[in-house]
Amino acid sequence: MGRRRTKRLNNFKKRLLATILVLALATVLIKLSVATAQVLEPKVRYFEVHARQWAYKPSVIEVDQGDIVVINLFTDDVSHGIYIEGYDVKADLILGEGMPSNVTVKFKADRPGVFTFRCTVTCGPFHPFMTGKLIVRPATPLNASMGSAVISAIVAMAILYIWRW
Amino acid sequence: MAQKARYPGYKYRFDLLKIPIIKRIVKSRSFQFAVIFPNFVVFIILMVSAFIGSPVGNKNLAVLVVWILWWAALMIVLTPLGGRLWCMMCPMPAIGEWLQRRTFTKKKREKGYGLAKKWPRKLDNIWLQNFSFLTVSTFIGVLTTRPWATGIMLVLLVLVLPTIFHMVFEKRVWCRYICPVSGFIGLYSMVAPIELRVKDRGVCLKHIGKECIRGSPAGYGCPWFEFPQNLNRNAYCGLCMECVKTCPLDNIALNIRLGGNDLYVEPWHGIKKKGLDEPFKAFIMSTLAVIYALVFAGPDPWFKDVANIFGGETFSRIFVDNVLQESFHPERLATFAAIVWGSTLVVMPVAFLIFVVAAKALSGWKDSPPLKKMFINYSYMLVPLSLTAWIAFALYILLINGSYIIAVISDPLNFGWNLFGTKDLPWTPIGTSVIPYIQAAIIIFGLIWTVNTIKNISKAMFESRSKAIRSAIPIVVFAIIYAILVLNVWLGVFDVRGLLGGLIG
Ligand code: SF4
Ligand code: SF4
Ligand SMILES: [Cu+2]
Repeated sequence: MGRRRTKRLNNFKKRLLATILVLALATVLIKLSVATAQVLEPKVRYFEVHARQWAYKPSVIEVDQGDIVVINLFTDDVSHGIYIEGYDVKADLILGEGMPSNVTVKFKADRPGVFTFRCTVTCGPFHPFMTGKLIVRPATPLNASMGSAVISAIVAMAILYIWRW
Repeated sequence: MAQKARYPGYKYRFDLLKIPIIKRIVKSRSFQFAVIFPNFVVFIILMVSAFIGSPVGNKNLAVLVVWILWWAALMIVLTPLGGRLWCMMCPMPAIGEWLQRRTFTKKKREKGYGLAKKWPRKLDNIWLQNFSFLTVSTFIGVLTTRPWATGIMLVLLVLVLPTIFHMVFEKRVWCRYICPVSGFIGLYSMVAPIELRVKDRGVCLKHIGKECIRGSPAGYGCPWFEFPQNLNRNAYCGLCMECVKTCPLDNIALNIRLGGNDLYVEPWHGIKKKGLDEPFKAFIMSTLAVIYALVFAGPDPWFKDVANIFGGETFSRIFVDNVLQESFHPERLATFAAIVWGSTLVVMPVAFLIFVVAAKALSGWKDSPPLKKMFINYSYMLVPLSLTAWIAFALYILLINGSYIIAVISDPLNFGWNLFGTKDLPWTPIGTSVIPYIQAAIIIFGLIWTVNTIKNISKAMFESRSKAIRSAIPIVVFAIIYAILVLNVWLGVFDVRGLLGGLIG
């Protein structure tokens, strides 16, 4: 019993060491890829988005990391708005006498990823579910795929631990 | 001993009833009434506010509490940590049980109200719960956005339906066989770090009185049709604490635990074998975790349009006359019903079956357990997998829309009150820049937990280690595909990469 236990412990140490090595290697590779990443020329990207009950058109917006994004929001029916999760930018488009017929949000897309944007003005029953997606393509694709490699490595290591290979 | 080696079982267990104050409390006849009654009052208030409160869903107490707070509480806290703790304090069966017993707290000798019919044997499974849950799911778009719909649902689920079932049948037939939330609470309760079990099964087997099922002057026989000596899973014990009161040999334990083997134990010899009802509950839950994410947070307007079976231009009148007149779209209802029922009862099970066939083939078709048994046993790996998908969902909804609740509690009935001074709190989503990271972490944790569960299920089915591993491979692949799908729905494909790029770069 005791011998088996120390053997298992040794195995555990070996695997731990292997994991640390893999992670360290991955980190080095990532740092390298960051160093070699090309910097894209930032562009101004303009979008005309139309809101209706309870959707945006277009409902998916794609830009590159570093772009200056300008979203001009119009409405086809009642008051709506736009709030971009993760970027925390917001504009309300309230219909009414003396109110503007459209509103604009402008921000620099400096964080890569997929971000939900949603309506900010209670515009009907489905208002809380009026959403769209902003996709910000990373400027460092190699770097980005290294990220998923690390996730996969962690999961793979966990699977190996669990099955005590 | 052999049994022990094959079921990894517990890492730690402690009987809470060893603490005298806890034992005193749960042994008290007023205990369950004391936890149910406040909840009952809350649900009555919710019903009232559903009908007289704001007709706007995201400003109505009932809609917000039921679909954001209650749902999040069940999925994130109550069930994963407390098992059927909700059922201990649930108001749905309250009226019926009070009538059945003709008392709020006492144990009476004389018969209560109701016909006390036996439940048909054929229906001794959770298929009706599966269907009741799917029925609610079919109307989810309307229920979560129209207070009147939530109101009708609450009246049916808290006042009308359970009471009818309690008056026709004996005990908690409603809870065990019909309640739409019972199915998933039971499913996920199996991973909870709390359990009610007998201390020593040997004591039960020798004990002739069996007060735990027959009842005694101290309490009622198990209302959930459980026989405590046979409990080896949490699934259908409602934690009502009657058996703690009735057992004359003090043989009931309420353990907190680490580990546990609810997801892969076989029923005791002579007890009904596992059927397909629970696996289908798991298919329903795991599929809807993805579909709801698409409906409530996806970018595709089509899903929202079909889920929203009512609609029309009359909504603007809400601000004028405080009424909501809408047209009903049967074609949307038909489409959404087809999605909900078809994906959960056909698409998902068939996809899973393909992987189980591969699992059986890889482990040697001839000398592996029957296909049906492998299908049933492996399906329990969906429990941790889909639970974490639901936690990711519920957490998102709670953090994004939780501020509506804080605003509405200041004026729950739309009387123009400002009880807590939060009435005019604007909508404030919380933590939007960290939510995706938290979701990713939860889903990846869920995947690893699932792989561990698959290992345990597989080990319990196969003597040979290499066979166990080979048969588990397709199931692990299935789990990985599901996890990627859920990550995708929430974070976008390349966001998994972009996200980490952002994290590290
Ligand atoms: S089964 Fe349903 S009705 Fe019964 S106690 Fe649990 S949640 Fe309530
Ligand atoms: S086993 Fe005991 S605690 Fe569980 S439902 Fe039955 S009587 Fe209640
Ligand atoms: Cu809107």
